[in-house]
Amino acid sequence: MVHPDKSMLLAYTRRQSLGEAESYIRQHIELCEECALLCHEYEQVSAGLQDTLEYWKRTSVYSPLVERVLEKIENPDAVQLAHRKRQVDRQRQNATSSTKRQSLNWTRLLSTGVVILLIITVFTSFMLHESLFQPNNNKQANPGSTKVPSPLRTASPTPTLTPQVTGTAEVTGGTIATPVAQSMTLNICKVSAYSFTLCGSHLQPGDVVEVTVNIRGKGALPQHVVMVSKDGRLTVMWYVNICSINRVNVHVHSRKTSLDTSQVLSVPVRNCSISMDQ
Amino acid sequence: MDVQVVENLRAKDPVAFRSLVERLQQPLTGYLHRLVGDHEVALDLAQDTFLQVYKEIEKTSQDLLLDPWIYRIATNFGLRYLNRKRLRQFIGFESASSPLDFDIHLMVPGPEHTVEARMLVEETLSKLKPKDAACLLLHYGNDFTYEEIGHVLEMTPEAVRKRVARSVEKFRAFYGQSSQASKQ
Repeated sequence: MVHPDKSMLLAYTRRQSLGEAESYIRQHIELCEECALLCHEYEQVSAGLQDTLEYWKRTSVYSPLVERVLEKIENPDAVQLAHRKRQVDRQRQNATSSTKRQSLNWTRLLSTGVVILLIITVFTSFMLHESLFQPNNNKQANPGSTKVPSPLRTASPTPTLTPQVTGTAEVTGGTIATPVAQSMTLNICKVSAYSFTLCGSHLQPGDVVEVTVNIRGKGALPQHVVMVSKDGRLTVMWYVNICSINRVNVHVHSRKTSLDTSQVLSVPVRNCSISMDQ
Repeated sequence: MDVQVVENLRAKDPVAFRSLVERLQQPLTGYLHRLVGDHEVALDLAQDTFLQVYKEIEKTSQDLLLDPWIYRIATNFGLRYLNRKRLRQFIGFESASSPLDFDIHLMVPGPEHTVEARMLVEETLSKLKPKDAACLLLHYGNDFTYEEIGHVLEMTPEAVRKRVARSVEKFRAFYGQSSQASKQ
């Protein structure tokens, strides 16, 4: 047997319009003792509620509003003032009635403030953290790195190269620089005793860049102006006795975007004795 | 009847307005009193309701159902007051239960279980969701049908039916308990 919804039973006992469901409920109640009992209980509860509300109606006396309303229509400002005063009085009375409760309330207010502050702090630190870990994470740079004058971005990555055995071996694969300026990477990709090659990737294809290398104690090497390949790469080579060099400052200036990038790159480990012989 | 009254009210007829306030003042203030749980606030809200009626009646349509419309204004005022009150209580500017909320007429002598039942009704009413309480009060206290309540609260009669039933369930629980207690 499918019982009608309780709200339907209540509505039925309250003689509310139920449409077609009304006759079904009537028939159902005649057959179903459980629903009949529930209806009876609803009638009792309704009677109790109505009694109470009737009692309140009889005993509640409200001061006449007609004059107040008409007065407000005629002189809204004065009545508004009185209205406001009543509100303030009520609040004051409420406030003075329980100072202990008020102090508790202040505690609650304080704790709410602390929670809000905490949320703001967490949010701000999260945002800061996010911005710190954007491409420019120079703060993790090698402490011994030399800063280039007026660099926009500097990085001193740690080389992770596996040196080749032969003297003129080309050392490749070393990730020297961390990403700078979006995802641009620079690294010394080939080293021999008398030369090194700088490789760049993720540059803007077709861009023309000026690449300058400074060596501490030796000054600047000749500047190269190169075009970035279609796949965003560049390769520049300098002939120099590399054996006495540990680090180089590389400065890249884009002619297209006028963006400057500076990095301190470590020269990978190389076998100078063999290469010098060649 | 409503049509003529509304016409007179639109014309700002003071007699029509006075008779409207006199007719509705007690039931409307009583309804607001039960809804917000404060005698003085109920009076202020009733006053604001009548003022709103006076101001806004010109903008209403011809087929206006006057009483449900006035109760809608009153309910909106009541619900807005309750929302602000809840916010103040949450922030801590106001205590959860003020002594003003305690009704003096609950102290009228009578059979103890009756007084107790009234207090329980008061307490249960204050714990209901404001809209559920509005549905219950309009139906049991002001004899509105579910359809009329739907007009007041801008919801379907089915929604009203569910809300009234939900509220009555709360009372059913304590009426059940109190009847068991009286048997013992």
